[in-house]
Amino acid sequence: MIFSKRLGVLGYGFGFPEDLARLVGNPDFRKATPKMQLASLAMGMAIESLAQSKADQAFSIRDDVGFIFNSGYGELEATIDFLKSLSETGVARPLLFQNSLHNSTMGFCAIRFGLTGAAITLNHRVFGGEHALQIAQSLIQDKECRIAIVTTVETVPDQIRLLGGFGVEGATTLIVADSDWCRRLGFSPFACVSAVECRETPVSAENMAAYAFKSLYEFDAVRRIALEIRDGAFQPKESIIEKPYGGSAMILTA
Amino acid sequence: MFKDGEKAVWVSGLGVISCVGDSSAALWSAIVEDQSGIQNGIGPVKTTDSQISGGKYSRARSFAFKAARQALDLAQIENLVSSDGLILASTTGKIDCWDKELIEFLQNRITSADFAREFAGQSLGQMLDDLRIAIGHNGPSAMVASACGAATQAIALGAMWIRQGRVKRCLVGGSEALCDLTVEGFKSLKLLSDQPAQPFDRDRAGINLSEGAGFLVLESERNSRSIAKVSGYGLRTDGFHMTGPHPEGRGAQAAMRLALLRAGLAPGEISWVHAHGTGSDQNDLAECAALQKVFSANMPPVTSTKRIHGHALGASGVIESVICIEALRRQMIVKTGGLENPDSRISIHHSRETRPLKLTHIMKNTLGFGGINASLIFSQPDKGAT
Repeated sequence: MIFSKRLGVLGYGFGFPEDLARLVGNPDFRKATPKMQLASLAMGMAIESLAQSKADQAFSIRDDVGFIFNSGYGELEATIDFLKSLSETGVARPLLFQNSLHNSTMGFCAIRFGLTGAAITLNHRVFGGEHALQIAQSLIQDKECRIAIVTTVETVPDQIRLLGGFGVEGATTLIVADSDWCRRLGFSPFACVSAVECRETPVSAENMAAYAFKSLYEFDAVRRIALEIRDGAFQPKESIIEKPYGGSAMILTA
Repeated sequence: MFKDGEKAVWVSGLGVISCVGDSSAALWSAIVEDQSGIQNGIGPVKTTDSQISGGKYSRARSFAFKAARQALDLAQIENLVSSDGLILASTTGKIDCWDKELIEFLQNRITSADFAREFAGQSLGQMLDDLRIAIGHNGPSAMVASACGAATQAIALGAMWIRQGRVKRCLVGGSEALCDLTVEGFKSLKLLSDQPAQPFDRDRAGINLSEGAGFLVLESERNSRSIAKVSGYGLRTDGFHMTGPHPEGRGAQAAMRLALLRAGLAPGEISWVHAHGTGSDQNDLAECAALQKVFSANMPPVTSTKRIHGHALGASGVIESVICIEALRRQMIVKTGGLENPDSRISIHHSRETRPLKLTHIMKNTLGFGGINASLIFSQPDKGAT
C-alpha cells in the first residue's frame, strides 16, 4: 500500500521484558497483563519522545489521537489462566475474563493515557505491524484522527514459551501523523514512511504449524522501524523484511 | 453522502447466519413475528449443515464462509480479485479449535505435537486467512478484534478503504461462536440473563450471548444490485473503564456526532436508530443517555432487537446492520421485543410496534468492552450524492 498521505514518525518507544521489574509494586499495574504492561511502557516512552519532534502540544487533544493495537496471540496469558482455573476449580474468574479479551490492552492503555479517539485492535500473527501501519494511514487519511499511536506487542505464557524456544517478546510504539501536516505545524519527524507493502497471499494453518510456539515479533515492521530510528540507522530507503512463514514486506521510508 | 464530496459507498450484498435462521429473510421474519432464538439464556445456531456443525474448521469460520457466500451471491460476485478487500471481525472465533486441547495438554493427556497442530490456528488472523483461502481472496485484508465493536469498526474501515480508492469492493463481516470462555466469563460478571433479554425495560435481567455471522459487500460504484449506502461512520473511545461504558455515554455521543458530521446530516434527519441495546443496566443507561444528548427533541424511534437474535459480540454490529438494511428495503421499523415497562431513567423514543415508516437514514450504534464506540449511518441508495 503506497500511502497517499506519507506518515511522519513523531515518536517511538519500546517495552522490553527486562523493564517489567520496574513495574513490580506499582498499584496501577496490579491487575495488568504482561501485554498491558509492555504496551504501557512503549507508549509512555513514545509520548515522552514527542518533545524531541516538537509535537507534544499536538498530542493534547485526545479526541484527535487514534490508537491501533496489534498482537499475534492476543491476551493468551489471561485466556489460559481463565480456562485452566475453570477446568480445575469450576470457577470463572471475572478479572481473568475481562483481561482475556483481545482488546483489553487497548482499553487499559486508553484509560491510562486518556485516549478518546478511534481505537482499533487487530489480531494478526502474519504481517501484524504492516497491517497496523496501514490501518493508521487509513484513519489519518480519513481524518478519523490527526495522530495515531501504533503499538505492536508479543508475549506468551510460560507453558507456550517452553515449547517452542519462543524468541523475541516485547512491545513497540510508533506515533505517526500526516507528514504534510507535521511540516505545516513545524514538527520534526524522526522519519517518514511512504509505503508499507506486504504480500497479500493468505497463509494456511498447516503452513503456520511450524510457528505455533514461536514469536514472529522479531520480524514486525513497527519494531524494525523503531529500532532503526533508535540506533541512528534510519535512512531513506526501501527495506525488505523477509518473513519466515513466507513472503516479505517492503517499507519505503523517506 | 459524505459531505466532503468524497466517494459514496454502496451496499450491494448481505448475508447472515444467526440463531433464528440462515438468511436475512429468516432473521427479519423472526424479528417481525417476535420469535426469539434464545434458549436457556443463549442463542446457538441450530443447523444440520455438516459444513457448519463439524469438520476441520472452527464454527465461526464456517459461519463466516456461509454468510460471506450469501453476500457475494446477492451482489452477483463469483470471485474476488486482487483489487477487492476483505475485513473480518471476531473476538473468540478461533478458541473452539484449541481450548479443550489446551486443558488436555496441560494435564499430559496429549503430546505437544498434537497440541501444536490445534494451537497453530489460535490467532484470529488465521481465521481470516482460512476464509480468504476458501473464497479465493488475495487482496488487502484486516482482522479486527475490538470486542463488541469489532464488526461495526470493520464496516467503517471497509467504507474508508473504498473512499480512499484502496479497494473497489470490500467484503466486510463478523463471525462469532459460543464458547466456555465467553459464556462462563459473562456469567462471572453477572451480566447474563437466563431468559430472553428485555432491553430498556425496568425489569431487565441481563444479556443473551449468541453466535452467528454477517457480511456486507461494499462497492465504490452504484449498480443494479445497490440496496443501501453507507453515509457516515464514527469511531470513538471512552477511555474510562475496562468493561463498562462511560455513564453518560461520552464516547458513544462522540461517535454518533462524528457519523452525522460525515454524513452531512442533522440529528432530525435520522429516521430510526438501531441501538446496541444489550439489556444490561450499564449499557442501556449509558447508550440512552448518549442518545438523549445527541438527539434531544429530535429523537427518532429507537429499537433493540437483541431479544430475538442475542448478542453475537464481535459479529453483532454486522448482523444488526443487515437488519437496518432490510428495514430500509422494506420501509418498516420493528419494535423492541420484551419491552413492557420502560425504565423510567431512560428517556428515548421507544419503538413499541412493528410498522411501516418512511426510512431515509438509519443509525446503527455499538458499544463494547474496552470503551469502544462505533456508529454507522445507512441511507436509501437514491438519497444524497452519488
